[in-house]
Amino acid sequence: MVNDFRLVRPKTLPEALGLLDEFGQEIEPVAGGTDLLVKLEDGRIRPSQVMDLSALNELKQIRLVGEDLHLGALVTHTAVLESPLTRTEAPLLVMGCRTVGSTQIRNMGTLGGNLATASPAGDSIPALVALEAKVVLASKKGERTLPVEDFLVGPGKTERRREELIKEIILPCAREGEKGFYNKLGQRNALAISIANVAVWVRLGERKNTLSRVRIAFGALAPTVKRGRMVEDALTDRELDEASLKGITQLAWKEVAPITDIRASAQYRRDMAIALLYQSLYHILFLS
Amino acid sequence: MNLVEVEFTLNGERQKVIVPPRTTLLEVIREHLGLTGTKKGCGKGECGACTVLLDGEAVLACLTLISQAEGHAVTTIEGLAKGEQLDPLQEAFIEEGAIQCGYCTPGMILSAKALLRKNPSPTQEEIKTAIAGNLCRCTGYVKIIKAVQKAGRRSAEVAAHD
Amino acid sequence: MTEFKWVGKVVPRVDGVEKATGRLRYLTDVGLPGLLHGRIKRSQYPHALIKGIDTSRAEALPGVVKVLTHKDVPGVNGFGIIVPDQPVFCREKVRYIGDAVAGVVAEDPAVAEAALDLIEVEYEPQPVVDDAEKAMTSDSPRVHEKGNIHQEVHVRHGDVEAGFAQADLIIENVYKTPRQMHTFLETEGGLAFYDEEGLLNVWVGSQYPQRDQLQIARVLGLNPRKIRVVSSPTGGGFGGKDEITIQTQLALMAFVTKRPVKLWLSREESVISGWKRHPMTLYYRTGFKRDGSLVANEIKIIGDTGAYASLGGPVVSLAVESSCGPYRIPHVKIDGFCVYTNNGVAGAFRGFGVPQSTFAMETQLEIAREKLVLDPIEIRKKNVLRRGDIAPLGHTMTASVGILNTLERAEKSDLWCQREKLKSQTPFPWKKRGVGVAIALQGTGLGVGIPDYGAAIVELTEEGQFIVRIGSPEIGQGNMTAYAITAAEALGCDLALIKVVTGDTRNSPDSGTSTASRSAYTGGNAILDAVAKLKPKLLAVAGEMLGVDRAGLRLAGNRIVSPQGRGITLAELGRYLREKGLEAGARGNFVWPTADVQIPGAEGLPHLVYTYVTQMALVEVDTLTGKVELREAATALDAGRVLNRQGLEGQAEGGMVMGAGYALMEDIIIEKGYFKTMNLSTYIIPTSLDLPERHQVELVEVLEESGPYGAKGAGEAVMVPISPAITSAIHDAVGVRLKEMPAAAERVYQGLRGEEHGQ
Repeated sequence: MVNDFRLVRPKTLPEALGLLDEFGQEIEPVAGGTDLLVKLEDGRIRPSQVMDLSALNELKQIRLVGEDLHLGALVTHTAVLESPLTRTEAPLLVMGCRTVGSTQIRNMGTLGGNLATASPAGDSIPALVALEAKVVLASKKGERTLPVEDFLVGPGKTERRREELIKEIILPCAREGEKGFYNKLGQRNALAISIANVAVWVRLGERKNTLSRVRIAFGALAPTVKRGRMVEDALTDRELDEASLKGITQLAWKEVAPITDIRASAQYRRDMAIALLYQSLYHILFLS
Repeated sequence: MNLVEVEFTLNGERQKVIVPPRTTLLEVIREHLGLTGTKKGCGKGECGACTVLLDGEAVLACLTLISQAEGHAVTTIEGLAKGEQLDPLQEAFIEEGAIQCGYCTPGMILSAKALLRKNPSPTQEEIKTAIAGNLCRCTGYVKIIKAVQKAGRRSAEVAAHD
Repeated sequence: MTEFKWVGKVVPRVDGVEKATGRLRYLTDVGLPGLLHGRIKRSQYPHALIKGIDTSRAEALPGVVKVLTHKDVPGVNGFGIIVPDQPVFCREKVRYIGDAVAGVVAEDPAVAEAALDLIEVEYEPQPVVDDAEKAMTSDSPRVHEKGNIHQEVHVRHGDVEAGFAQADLIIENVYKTPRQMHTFLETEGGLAFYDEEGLLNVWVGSQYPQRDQLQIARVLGLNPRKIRVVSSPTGGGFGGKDEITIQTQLALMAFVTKRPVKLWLSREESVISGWKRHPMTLYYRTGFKRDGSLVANEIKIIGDTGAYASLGGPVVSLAVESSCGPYRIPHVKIDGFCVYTNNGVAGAFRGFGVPQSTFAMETQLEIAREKLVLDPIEIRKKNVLRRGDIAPLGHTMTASVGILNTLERAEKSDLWCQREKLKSQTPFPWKKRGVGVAIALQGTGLGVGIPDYGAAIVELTEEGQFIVRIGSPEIGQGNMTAYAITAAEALGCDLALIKVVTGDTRNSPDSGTSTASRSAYTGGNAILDAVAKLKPKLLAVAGEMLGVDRAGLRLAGNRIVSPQGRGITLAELGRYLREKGLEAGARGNFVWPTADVQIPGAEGLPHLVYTYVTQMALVEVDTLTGKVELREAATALDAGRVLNRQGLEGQAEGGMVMGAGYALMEDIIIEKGYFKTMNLSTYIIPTSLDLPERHQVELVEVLEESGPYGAKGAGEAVMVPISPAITSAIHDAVGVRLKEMPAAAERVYQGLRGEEHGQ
């Protein structure tokens, strides 16, 4: 039978948090709807209540707060692409959001929704992890802040408690000497779920072809988006050329634990961690 | 019975519907309001046939709960022509041969409409990006891209004369 | 040179405005008061015996009007164009996961959906036949009682062993092709109801209303005249709506309940239950002389038709026919097998077996020419068929043959002329570019042994319009516009005065299918015949009205005028004809010419009139990921005279992209009879961002005397050779020779690793 849920439509964040406090166990919040509606249609979820967040305009803001960029949970992927703030302060996130689905999906889908869905292949998440973004969870009792990397528990699973709502995402603004690259491999060039993807953030070293800091996040290559700390360390503070880059990026093989599905085999995905990482660093070091 | 009341404008006219909350914008448009120009191709946001404009932005009506349209302006393909005067995009699609079976056409035109609103003279790459969420199995997209370029040029000329 | 007013000109589609404005009602858009909703209960297993069906709980659900099973089928419980081996509702056995076991009709779609879960079916699962080659062995479980080989085709021409004895080089390989899905944007659906005259109306988008009518009649045990089928407009067909999709089940729903019923498949249901392109395994042994000339070809083709026959036999036959490409090969031995499995169902699909064998043959030729160090164009020129040649199947190529012309034109394309420069423009060190060329012929029409006939009615209305009626439906390909052009040209009137009606058993005569690249050619010829009968009659009456001799009269715009400048409007003539009770229309017909030999046991083989095409590809391969992108393409097409220029270009552009999807990404994966690819998220077709930057289309007009104004069909050939052109271009770029499609990134990557390890 088609799921016939009750709908709640809060007008403000406190109202939404009040509802979650009372009925959190039964409520499924919906932001852009691009994931939830598919699950409803497939009968994969049968919530008794759905909370339409679309009226919560306070969660649609992109703000500069000190050295940080605050992105409301309901900021759409398109808003990220079009905002002058994100373009200058978070270019890596812009690159990631650009590869999401299609124009319509980017117009509807939100950063908070992408995080809450917690797909291992979610295209904005590796960028957030590589940027060491934090997620702010709000409940009636207050707020708590977690690194995005720790917020993710498994495919479709997060640290969000039923009475909490993702309020915003905080990331440090880009600075001089920092660079990023986002590299996605899909079966086609739009409307594609990642076979594998990687987001790379670096701070260039003082010496040519060196990196003083490196952060790497792999998508669709483990149960959650996964940092590649071993390969980050190996890349830091050493002179890199094509050959050494080729050698070091092989370490990515040890960073990931992919699965076989209809899109690709686990073995191929593991090799792609290396290939996509190599290409990303090559772009950063030798092409830009 | 569990129902929600939603008010929005559809092609410039105020609409109020009272429907079960599970109802999508697509179901309201096609089944409750009888406007069948908006098509259903997959019901899962994978084909773009149900594309409509929500406050000028292209969205997928099949993945939009009707309550999400509350207070917004929805435009469907029926809302583009002014009487018998077709929209420049509709004219260009006909002239350039951008239509074959026609099932993707309404959604395709609306995606293009949203693009031209923001960017009246898009590059080929920008057009391809704007319509990449609208699958077409007949045309190979070539004439669609040409039509969007032509409509953009024509709109710019009209704007220049106004 | 003949000057045409409409033929070959760029004209707007006759259905353009209705489609661009969203006003056109597709058959899934039509509603009726009191409409009931149908749903289909499908099999739970790919292969199982049915031990019992209990519908009582479903029937008891409030809102359910009727639950239907095999017991409710009054006539033959089966459909199928060649043999009706597919049950409307299964009785004793299910043979694929999409098989229909029961149908629900309810007041509300949600109730119908809920009732499906209440139908209890007891199954006894059987071993799953999931491999066509294994299915051919004597110890395989049987999908059908008669055995798993549905049809065999055997061609012997020349002496193949003698041929191989002359060969300097013999190439032997096995090829495999994917299960492509049509992916029409409108899924199968429509409605059925009784009209005021008591006719059972079945309105479902399809490719041949009159045959649907007959198939429905057989199932219902009803006089076909009591059934009206409307099949236009359709949101895409490509062969996937040639066979019955839902018509018999839907018709039965309305027949039993006597109320209007709508049945419209979800995308997932469409994927699982619908027709697909036959996956094929193709064994090739090909002999060449040192100079590249072909001397012998020994081929075995196995096509997986899935659970039911549909057009599987003819599809394999066409794969056999085109298995030697458009080449002269004196000694051939070709065997084709169409085999039942539990892998979904396969049937007609644009190209109809030709894409599969063209991929294999063109790859064989490329492997040979690489070994023989020959130019890809030259080796083809050396071998291509010319008019008057004996084709590999033994028939004489008496119709026009333009394959050499397309090669010569393609050779002058920008892609080919600038190929070295284009190949050198790689953006990153890990990208490599390559070019490839491939050619094909595609038989048009149904071929020898299958009666192929067309009819058209052209009539003048009292409003001064000409109505052209032809059954072959508009499925997006633009035959309505081609018909309007042909009629306007023949009549000498304005295009705007032509109104075309297709796809309706009541309002348009049986003119055969909209398939086999046949509808413009067949319908066009029937129109010319009708106009040849009608026009003199009209002029005679006009002469009478004007009191002048008809000899000098001619049609101009919307008038009939005399040399002296006197005239009457067509509307005046139309009204006069009505008032006097005179015939205002004429019926024309056309019977296809056929080849001078017939291949026994293979319906349709060989053909006589072929479309010819050369396609070229420039690809870019990412050597680190294996991902392939098509950067440029070129098509040179011989479809005879161009009737509708824009429409033909559109076919070429869309066909090329469909062929590129086939080469690069498309495949329905079925494991042990279960679908792994269920929707448009996992079945991927090219988007606008997967297009090449440029696709040069050249229309080579080699006139075909038997066609309307010299035209031939075009709808299918345009998707065929691009696939091997792409795989050859991949080889040119990175040295990986693919014998299996699609060239998905992982497959190419594995090939690249194999190359590294010297395999």
